[in-house]
Amino acid sequence: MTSEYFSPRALQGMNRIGDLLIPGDRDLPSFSEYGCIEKVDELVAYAPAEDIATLNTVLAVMAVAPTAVLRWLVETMTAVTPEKTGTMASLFRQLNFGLRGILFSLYYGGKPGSQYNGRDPLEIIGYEVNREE
Amino acid sequence: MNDIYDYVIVGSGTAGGLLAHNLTRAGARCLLIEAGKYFRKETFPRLEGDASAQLYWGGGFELSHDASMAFLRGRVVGGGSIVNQALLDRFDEVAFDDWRAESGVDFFSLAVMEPYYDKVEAKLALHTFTAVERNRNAEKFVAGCEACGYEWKYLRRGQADCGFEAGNDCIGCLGGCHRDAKQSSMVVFIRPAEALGLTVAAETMVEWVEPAGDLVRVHATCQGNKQTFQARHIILSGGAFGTTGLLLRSGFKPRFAALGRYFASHPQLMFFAVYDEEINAHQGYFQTVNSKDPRFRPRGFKLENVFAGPASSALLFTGYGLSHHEIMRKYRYMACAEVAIRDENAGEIEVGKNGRLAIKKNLTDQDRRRMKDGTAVLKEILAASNARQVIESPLYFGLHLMGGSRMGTDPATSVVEPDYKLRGFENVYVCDSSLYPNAPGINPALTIMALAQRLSDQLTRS
Repeated sequence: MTSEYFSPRALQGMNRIGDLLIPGDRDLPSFSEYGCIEKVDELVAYAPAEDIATLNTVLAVMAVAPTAVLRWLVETMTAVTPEKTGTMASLFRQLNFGLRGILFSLYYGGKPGSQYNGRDPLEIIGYEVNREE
Repeated sequence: MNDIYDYVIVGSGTAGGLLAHNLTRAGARCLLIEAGKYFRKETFPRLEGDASAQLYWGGGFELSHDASMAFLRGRVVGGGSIVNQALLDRFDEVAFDDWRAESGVDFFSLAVMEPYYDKVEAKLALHTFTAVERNRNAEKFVAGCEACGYEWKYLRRGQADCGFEAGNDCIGCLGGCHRDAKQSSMVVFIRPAEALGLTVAAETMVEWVEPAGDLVRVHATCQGNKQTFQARHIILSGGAFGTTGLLLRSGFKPRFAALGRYFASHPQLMFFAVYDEEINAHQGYFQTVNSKDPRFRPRGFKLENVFAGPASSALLFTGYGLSHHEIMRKYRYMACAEVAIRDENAGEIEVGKNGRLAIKKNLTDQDRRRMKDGTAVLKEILAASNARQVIESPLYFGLHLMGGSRMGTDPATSVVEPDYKLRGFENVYVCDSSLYPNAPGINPALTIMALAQRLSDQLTRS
């Protein structure tokens, strides 16, 4: 797939970090299996261009970083509380908000990739909404 | 450029829509400018992720300078009234007394504001919930409160026919109401005003404003094209971030020491309680009850019975990987409530060299004490409701963005005069939550409208 906002390497990085956060189990697919990354442009089209450019760089690095480093990064960024001060704590929180915001919005966004034939994560967790319009 | 409007109103949310309506109806030629898109009930995004991306600034949320707090604000015609819960409470004497004491503004009192509340409420379809409308999420909250001896109440909401009897689930309303039932600024004010001649410029970002004698020039970008509008008056109604940011970008900071200061946001933390039985908090009415215990108000917190869609919930939960999957599998078994505090107005709104907002907002010691106090009470309530597990989100959110361009009598601590005029300017008005002197600890929307009603009465009289 191609993206207007992310390089092929950044997309690769997004799938890697996505599979760490969302590895799949039993009937829940992993982030990359679900294929929702195909819809990433629809999601980020409204985000500030500056933020997306930064994320593009970060994700490209994630594509080539050793798995152990990625694991450490995920562990660290999810553990930084709002109370922790300092530049590094701020960066980890930004990363946590930014990455989790995009990845979970895609994964629980109800838009599977073109190759995915399994049950949707929304269906698996039982999210059914009735709209009387 | 040659077109001269009587009023250009920047921001189409809770105040802007009402002002545009009232002034247009009074015969003024008005232009309402909004940075976001103009959706209709048929075109609002149907999926949670799309709604977050398309209806909010920042493509979902904006972060404070150190990412310790996230802020949600609508970027759409109708502004925050499209994405909020339309909970419409009048302020109490406590809120107005504090405002009056801090600002020196005499009309901040329940007695003076009452007629304006009355006028606004007469324009809205208001509904106070009843027992039959509670979903299981609300039942759990009520059961917990009653077991602990805390008072609770039914919420009053701006809504017409939400299709409850037909089985409509209202969680989608957070991404814009698909029935035009929610009493948004778009439904109640903007669309009727368009029929009377109001011009709406959507997807138009105001870059800076320039008072020039009897006119005000409004420099904007519309889909990449620069445009300048002219008006005899301008009303800034872009909210705490929008209005304050615009004034800062327009170079007013040297004139007003208080510009950008005194920002508050009612910070909140969400708690998810897991039960053995299905709750299905995403079904039925989304929010029907909250705390009413008189002991909470002086302690500076309130408890609201809320919920969130799957993507937002997934972001709010801690952890990742298999443990996160396990939490998400319990989605249907969860109830949820939040602690929202009446915070000190110690935040600051700045604009960086790149023109982007930089929001400094950290909890003060008093804020932390209030959050801790409210958290302890909420955990007690959830435990009493027989929750098997309580999941505490570590992420602070600010949904009520207030201050930054506050109203007052002291030039050292305020920006806007009691007659809503930007101090020293005859034709620049501010009317939105940015003029709030401090955090009221009550949902701000109805009072924003009452203040806008008061200004529109003042303007139409003159």
